[in-house]
Amino acid sequence: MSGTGDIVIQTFGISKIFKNKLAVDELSFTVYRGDVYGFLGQNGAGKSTTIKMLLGLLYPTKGYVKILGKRVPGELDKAIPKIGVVTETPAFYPYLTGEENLRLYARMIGIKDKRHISSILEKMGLLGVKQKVSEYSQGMRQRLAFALAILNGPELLILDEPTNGLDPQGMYEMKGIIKELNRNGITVFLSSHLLSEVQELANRVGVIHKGKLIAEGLVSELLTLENQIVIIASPKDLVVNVLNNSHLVKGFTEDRDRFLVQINKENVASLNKEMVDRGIDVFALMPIRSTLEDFFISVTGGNNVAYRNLQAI
Amino acid sequence: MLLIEIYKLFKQKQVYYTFLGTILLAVILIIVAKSGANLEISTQGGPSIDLRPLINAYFIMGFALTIGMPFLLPLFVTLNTSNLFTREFAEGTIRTYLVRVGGRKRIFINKVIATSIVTILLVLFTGTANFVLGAAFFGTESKMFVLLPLPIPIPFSWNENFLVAYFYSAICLLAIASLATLWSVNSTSTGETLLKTLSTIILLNLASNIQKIRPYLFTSYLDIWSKAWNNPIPWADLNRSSIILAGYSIGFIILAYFIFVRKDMVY
Repeated sequence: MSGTGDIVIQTFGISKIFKNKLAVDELSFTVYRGDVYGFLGQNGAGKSTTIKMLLGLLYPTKGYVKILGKRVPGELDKAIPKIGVVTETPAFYPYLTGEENLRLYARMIGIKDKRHISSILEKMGLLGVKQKVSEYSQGMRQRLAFALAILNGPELLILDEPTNGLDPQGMYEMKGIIKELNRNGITVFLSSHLLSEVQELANRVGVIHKGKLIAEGLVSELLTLENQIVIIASPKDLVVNVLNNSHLVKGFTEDRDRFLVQINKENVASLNKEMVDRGIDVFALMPIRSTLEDFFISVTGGNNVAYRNLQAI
Repeated sequence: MLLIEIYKLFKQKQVYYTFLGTILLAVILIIVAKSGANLEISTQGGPSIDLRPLINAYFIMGFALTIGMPFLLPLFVTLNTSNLFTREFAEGTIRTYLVRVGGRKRIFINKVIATSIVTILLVLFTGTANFVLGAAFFGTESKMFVLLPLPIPIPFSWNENFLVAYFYSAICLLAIASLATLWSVNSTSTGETLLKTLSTIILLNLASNIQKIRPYLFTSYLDIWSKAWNNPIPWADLNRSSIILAGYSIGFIILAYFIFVRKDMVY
């Protein structure tokens, strides 16, 4: 699903300073209803601090947050029943079993339907597990955290590294559950260091670097490199000749039978016509789509994404 | 939520240790008394008195309070308070609690009420368990007579004095629980809460040697329960001291509340 305009999360220039260290710097972003919003950043970029501010666990030094139309922290209590959360390191009462933990929270939030609780435990593969949480593996804790997050049928899921500690099968299942929940209308705010996971799930992303939001937008737009196309055409010498002499082309790189061409979007059709008119067989002429990993590295580290993409095509 | 707070507390083994700890001194006394060892104590300026003929259920009950109140019972109260607050920080469960249930105010109030209930239960258990233990080994037959000034005062009429002593010890321990709550919301481990709470009490007790500030220190009133052994019971003094302790307790709780609701949960 994609954003429909109804704002679910909005931050207004939030900053957080810990003992003179600026962790988050005037961060403003928006998550729309129906989004799977990927929140990306390197370790220490400020992702978890931002999530804690969204949830009222930390108080912003500056700015404020609105979740589901409620201002945090003042009105957060009204939004909490509609939010499900998986925190980075899920914590439960270690002296209780997973089921006891879940039933305890269910009672506190007024869920009495035992079958509902059992069905969620079953979905997460935890039904009938008699171990105390202190004996749980990281993956089991993660599953329990997810069970707790969806216990109340939330409108918004905030997930901080939700597949942490899961085996490949578990990760696959978890991604399936997230997709299914999103298809059913649940907005997902997903923070993950697994870029392939975010690329698979998210329709919009925001990239945080050293506490600042440095990129935000639709995945489909961000992953299309502006003003660069790949051309596969022959004969090669004629193509080189056209590209060298065309005033439309700003520059190009050659690699085997393909060319990475720098050109304004609006001139692509004219270049195509020019090549065809010169008797060139144009087999492909396409915009470059990078991976989220490439995009992330390009905005946070500045690597030559275009060249690596050309290699990959 | 209140019942759940109490349920969570009683799911922890440590809480049972604190309850069992209240009979520890009585158990030691019983073992010593039954082993035939010397249980003589010397009175001020008088002859030594063998305690064994005096021991009965009421004696054990008074003994538990007299010996327990200066250190053990405050320690147990602080431990239980810390289990309700600090342990949630230390284990990160406060995060889950806040994002799933929400409402810092509600959570705090329920925890404070749970702390008070558990403190009162601890006092009731101390009285009851020690009485039962004493009754089982030494019976309940009256052996009371004036022994003052003894280190362990023994009352004439057990009914009123015992009830009053235990009632006011509960007030003293509730004040300690309030102080422990204040430190609990400012600590990251049970050990830290214990250290801060007990250090505060010890330091204020030392400070109370300065007569000018003594009336203003809440620790100056933590022994009011012992006045219940006096005959007649000094009700006016007890009530005045109780009001002061209640004032301090409310102050500690209000301060703890503002810290808790404004606290960054970095755990």
